[in-house]
Amino acid sequence: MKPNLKILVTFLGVMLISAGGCRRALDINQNPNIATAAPPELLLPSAQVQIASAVGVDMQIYGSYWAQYWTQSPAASQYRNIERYSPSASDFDNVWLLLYSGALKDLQQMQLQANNLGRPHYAGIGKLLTAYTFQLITDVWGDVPFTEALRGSPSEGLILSPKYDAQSVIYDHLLRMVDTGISLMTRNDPKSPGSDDLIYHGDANTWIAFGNSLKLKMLMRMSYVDPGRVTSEISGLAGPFLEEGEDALISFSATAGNRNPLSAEIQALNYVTNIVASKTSIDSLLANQDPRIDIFYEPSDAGQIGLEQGNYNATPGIPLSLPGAVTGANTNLNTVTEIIAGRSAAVKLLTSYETYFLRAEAAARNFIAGNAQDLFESGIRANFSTYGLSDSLADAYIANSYWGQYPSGGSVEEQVRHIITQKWFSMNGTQGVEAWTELRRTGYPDFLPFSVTSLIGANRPQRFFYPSVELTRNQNFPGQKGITEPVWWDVKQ
Amino acid sequence: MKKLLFLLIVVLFSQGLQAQEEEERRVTGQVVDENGEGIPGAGISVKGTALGTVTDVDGNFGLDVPDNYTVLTVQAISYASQDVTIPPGNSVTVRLAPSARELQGAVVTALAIRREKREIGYSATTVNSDEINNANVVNPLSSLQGKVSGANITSSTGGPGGSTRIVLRGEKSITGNNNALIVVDGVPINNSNRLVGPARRLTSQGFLDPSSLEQIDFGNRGNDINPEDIESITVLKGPAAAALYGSQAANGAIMITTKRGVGRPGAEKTEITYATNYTISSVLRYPEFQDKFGQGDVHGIPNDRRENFSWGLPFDGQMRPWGQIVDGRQLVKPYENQPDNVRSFFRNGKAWENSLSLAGGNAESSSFYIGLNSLNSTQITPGTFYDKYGIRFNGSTQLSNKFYSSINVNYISINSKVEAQGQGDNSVWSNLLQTPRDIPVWELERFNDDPFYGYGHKDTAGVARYGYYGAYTLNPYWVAENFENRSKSDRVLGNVVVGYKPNDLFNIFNRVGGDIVSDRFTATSLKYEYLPFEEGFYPVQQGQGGYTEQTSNSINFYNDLIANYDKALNDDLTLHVLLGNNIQYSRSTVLSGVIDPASNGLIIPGFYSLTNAQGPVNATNTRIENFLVGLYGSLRLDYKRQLFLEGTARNDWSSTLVRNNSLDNISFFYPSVNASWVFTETLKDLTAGNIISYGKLRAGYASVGNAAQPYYNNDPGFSSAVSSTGFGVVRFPFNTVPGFSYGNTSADPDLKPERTNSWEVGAELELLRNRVSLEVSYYTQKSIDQIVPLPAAPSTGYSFYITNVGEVSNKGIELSLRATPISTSTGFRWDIFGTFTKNQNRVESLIGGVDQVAIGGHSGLSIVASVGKPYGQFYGTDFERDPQGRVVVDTATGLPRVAANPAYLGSYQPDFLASWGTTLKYKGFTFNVLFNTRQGGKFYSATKRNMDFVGVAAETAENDRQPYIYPNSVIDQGDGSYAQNTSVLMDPYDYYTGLLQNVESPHVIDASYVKLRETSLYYTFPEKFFERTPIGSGSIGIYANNLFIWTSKENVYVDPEVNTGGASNEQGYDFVARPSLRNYGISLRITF
Repeated sequence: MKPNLKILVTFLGVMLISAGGCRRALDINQNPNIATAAPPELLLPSAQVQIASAVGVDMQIYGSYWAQYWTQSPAASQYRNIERYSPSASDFDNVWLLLYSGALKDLQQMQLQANNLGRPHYAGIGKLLTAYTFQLITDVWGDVPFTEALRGSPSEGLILSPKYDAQSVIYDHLLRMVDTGISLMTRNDPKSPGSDDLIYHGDANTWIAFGNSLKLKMLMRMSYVDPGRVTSEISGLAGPFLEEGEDALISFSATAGNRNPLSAEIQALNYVTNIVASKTSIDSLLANQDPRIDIFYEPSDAGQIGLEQGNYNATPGIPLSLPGAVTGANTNLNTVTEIIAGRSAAVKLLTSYETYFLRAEAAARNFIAGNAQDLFESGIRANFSTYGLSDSLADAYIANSYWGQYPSGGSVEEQVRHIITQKWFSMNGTQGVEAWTELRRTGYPDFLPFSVTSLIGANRPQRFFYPSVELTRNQNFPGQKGITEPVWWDVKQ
Repeated sequence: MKKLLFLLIVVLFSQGLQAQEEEERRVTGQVVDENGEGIPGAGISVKGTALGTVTDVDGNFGLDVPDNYTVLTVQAISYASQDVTIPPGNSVTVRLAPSARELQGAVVTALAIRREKREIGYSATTVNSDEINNANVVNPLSSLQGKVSGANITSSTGGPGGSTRIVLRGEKSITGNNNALIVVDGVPINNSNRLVGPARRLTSQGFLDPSSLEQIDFGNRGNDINPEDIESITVLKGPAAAALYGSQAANGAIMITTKRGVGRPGAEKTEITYATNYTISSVLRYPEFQDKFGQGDVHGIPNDRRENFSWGLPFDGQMRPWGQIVDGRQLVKPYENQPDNVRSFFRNGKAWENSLSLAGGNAESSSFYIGLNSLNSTQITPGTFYDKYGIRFNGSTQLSNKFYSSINVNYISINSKVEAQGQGDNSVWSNLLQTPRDIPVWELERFNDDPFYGYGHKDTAGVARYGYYGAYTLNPYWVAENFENRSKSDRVLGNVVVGYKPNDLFNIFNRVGGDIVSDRFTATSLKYEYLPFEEGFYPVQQGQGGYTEQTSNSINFYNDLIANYDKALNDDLTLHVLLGNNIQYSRSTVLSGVIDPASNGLIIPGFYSLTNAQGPVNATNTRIENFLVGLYGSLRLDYKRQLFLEGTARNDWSSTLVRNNSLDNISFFYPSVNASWVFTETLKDLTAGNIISYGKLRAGYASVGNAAQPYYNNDPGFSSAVSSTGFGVVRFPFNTVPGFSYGNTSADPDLKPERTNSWEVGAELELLRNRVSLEVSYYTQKSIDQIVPLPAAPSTGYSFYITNVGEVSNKGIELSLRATPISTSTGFRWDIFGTFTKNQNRVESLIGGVDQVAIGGHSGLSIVASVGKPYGQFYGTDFERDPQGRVVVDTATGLPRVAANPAYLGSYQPDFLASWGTTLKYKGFTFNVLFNTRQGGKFYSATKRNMDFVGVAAETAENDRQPYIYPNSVIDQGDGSYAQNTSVLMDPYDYYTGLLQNVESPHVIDASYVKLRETSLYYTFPEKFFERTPIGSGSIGIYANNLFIWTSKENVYVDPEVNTGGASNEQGYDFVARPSLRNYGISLRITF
């Protein structure tokens, strides 16, 4: 037995040594495939592009269909449910994901690091873009997680089911957030952002103008539901606002992978023509002899022709106008220049002409002092100039067209009707979601028919469905809302 | 099993006897046990010849023995073999003594330790090489189908390179691996899934979306092993059996033992075996097509020549032009159904397998086995193939100084080209199914020669155009030729054992194993842009082109140091002690470059190089490492060879539980215990002469731990930003600006190991003098503290939160039965065999408030683990239903209304599995047939969905497409009551092309089937046949596997075993999966 015992002892010794010696070998569990840290200048462009992807694709498509710039081509079927006014909850998953766990999470991380590193401009831009994004979210979904949002890891408090905050409460927070953002931008930052800021290349003054314009947009949204609040808030809002040439936009390029996100979406769908011009827009542009028509639309062989909204059951093959290159949504451009233009089309977040129209409306409603007509006409000129159309063309349009002539003698409502309808013209194919949102708020333009394939009769969608990712995963989800149920600020009868 | 093999050999060899012409005498006799009872099925052979026979039920035999032979060898399972000299009277009674030393019905248990079956307290089923190779199933794991109770095996294609998923006793892990551990000669091997495709995107359901993207299934690695090299496969079904494998054992283990040079009959000489077989494959199941309507769209252009719709006018047989007008000419054909328009596309698959093996040496000193094999096959889709070459060397030697050593090395090289599945451009099957019923597919093969069928033909002005008829599909022949998915793998696996055995009591050895795989995968996607000949009517067809190249390397290292010590405590009681140390290390690295056709593209068409990209190539590298150390031991007590008790314990330290450089809490411990009682031995006096000749009762308990996946407890971290929309992406660097994004997965940094606790009890019986054997087990298992990436609401900032949640339970019963109703002295023998498996699976709980976790599917139809339901539940959009479950229709359109919320549509878990087989043997002939069935459970068929949409499915032609009442539908009365719909008709066009695109429930259908899994007929030539040749023996046979299928009435589409999720947890998911195969062929085997 003795030799056996010796072997046994040796064996046990070897085993214990091997187990002990393995301690270092066991320490290999740090994932080498991800970085453990990233400075703010890497997170800012990521957040900006994700916002642009949300605004530029799903929000653009829903907005531009429901604002009747575009309609579903009879030759394909991708967006038929949008025309039926009957999307499904899961159709909104991607845009929700992009904004919450994409853009907002990156902005949160960026601000965290900016604060640690003492970089007020990153923190300020973070606040402004966070406010912009949350407004975007709450405007289409209403009540959403805000105060408890973005805290899903153990170190953040592990809130796996953030509660839904009332939209009015969120607006309160957002107004203060914009104030904070603006004040951070007024501080001195020796290492302010440069080319990593894809919107303004770190220009603090333009960001301040962006902040003011954003706040104005928020306040005007409340104009029907809480005019008293607008009056009290707006007094401190002296500008500067975004002026011509200061549009908050992200430019894309023709390089694969860096293309306009809608153009990239269409490429991924093999350039099948899903999007064609809506008769609503084409006819109203034609009726006003609006020179912008050839910017917004690529004419068919038979000229500028739109399809009746939602009539995708029409015979395929009839000539129809397509969206223009500036939208990134064209599928059938004929020259290399046009192809490049479509792929590099900018995604617009907040524009100067939009701001002029907001100011015009504020003036028309007497929230601020100022000449509403001047602001209205500045908006038209800024929009024409964005697309390379001369001031003289703009002036002719202002002088001759119904929608270009400001009803300065008319009622406030008439003035607002003109301002919002003109804003609708100016946002064609590039700010679809904002145009649809303003349509919901004001009811303008007032000449939009209902989709002929509407499944909800003579009603229009007043919101996005909450996404299935939220309703299946958030225990505090308050319940799905009907698509015709208005959001908090949408009170105008 | 051994017995069967032995009998087979004996019977095969004995039949040559009848033809003997030389001088011989008839010897008769009886073989009896120590009590004088006849032993049935004992083998009698004439020593020095291959002549022999077996005893009948009463142990009697009769044998003609050549005059110059005088000694008979008598063998029977459980008894020591004996040589007897033929007495002068030519009549003999042989009394056999029970064998003491010899392992009776040895099984290979954990760590490749051979144990006698009577000793073990858990279920273990052994399948030997004959049964594995009976029907020449090319995938060794698939060859177990229908042969093992308790195993749910699905083979997605039934052909070379396809995936095989083996789940033993039910799915236990919610999102982790549920495949059984594959162990070759004691060392677990890499059984990874090779389901590849372009980068899959995260979707709402929180998994990677395969929809609309191509998926390529190159099979799972466990199938790489050559079936001819396999000596036996033992299936250890429960955790109790496999507990010593530690973490990986919760799913049970498939123990593959390869052939060696010793232990064969006639081990003195080197035996050379050559086996070859030639298999032909064809599609097992085609969907049922409608035959009344052809190309067109009655609600668009009724005779639209561009359509993939078969929603045109009824067939009238009239001549009608079709396709494009090419240079003023147009094709004309009768407007009628083409019944063969899909099946004509596929050719017969052909596979030729050759294997040559040499086995030699002797048990006392050294032995070797060398196996060489090749498999060359062309598959049913034009251009696809699968070639495999393998070399195996197994050697062992007994050294004089009490040391011993063995080495097993296997090199495998696989080269294959496989068709894509799914509904991308590159999916042949998808393009084919969308072919209208009147289009003669076979003509499209001439796409290179004829402008009407192809792409790139020049018009009269010299412009390259396409003339293919379809505007919305691609020519499937052209797709097959221009979209390639290839994989080339080289793999070396094996192990080396060095041991020291100073005496009979003590044994110590070290076994080091490795498995190294290198793989290169490439996928090409053609760049094309063709104007139609008929501009303005036909659209431009274009694809940006793409290329993916991926090189992956993996190494698995596995070392066991084991010491055994046996000690007889007294005459009755023996103690066996085992102590072991285990070290596992695995590393895999993947380097991949992707030019994605969706977001990037090629510059020069047809040039597949990562330099030929329109934008930055998506280049990624990943490295995953995992290290584990374990200490284990087992203690066994053996009382009088009738009562056995075993306890095991193991402690593991896993790198995957290490966090923030802290090595605390990374260890976990788990025990098991099992007992077995051979009651027939104890109660010998009571059972003697009884119908039960052998009986054993057993029981086992095990608790098995399982560590996390590597890096699961890490912080989210940052990676280069990618902004994905529905289909498109924007990548960084953005122009020149770099961007990083915070991760979407947060994790509990203090993950605990998962745990599966299981109980099992069972009985094994041999009845009617071993004519009938029966094995039954009942088990119950609970898997707790599962580590799950829980889908998180994105408003948390994350898509997943990894934590310990939930519990899954499995309980079930498994039964196997084997009987020999007839065995005569003339050599006729009839065996029957059957198994029955019923497992009840239930997801008991997840984390507070979370109802379900997605494990697969797409946006309208997910496959989930849902609390209170069996795992693998289909959860998808459904119709609105009244309380009785009847479909509620719209009063205006007659179409079913869509329910607001998705519904549970059933799970992929079968109600039960069963198999039935029989073997008939007479003279040199062996006939074998095996049926298996799966009853219950559902699967999702996108094949059906697409066929409904384009109007080729048989059901779309119901009522000649005139409006009809949706069957058994009701109308909402508005007051909470429902009335039978007797009047509102629906238009099937709107139903199939519109509604069903948004409602998935009708595409979740019954997955039940009965298959003729295997059948074969072999003839073994008489010895005499080869007398003047160097050949020792030979056999020839015909065989078939997966030959016929019967499915439930509602499944007129595909074989429910097809799956686009490979061997993953995404099962029952036909997302336009490639069809499964029927295989049949001829084989020849000769031994020198």
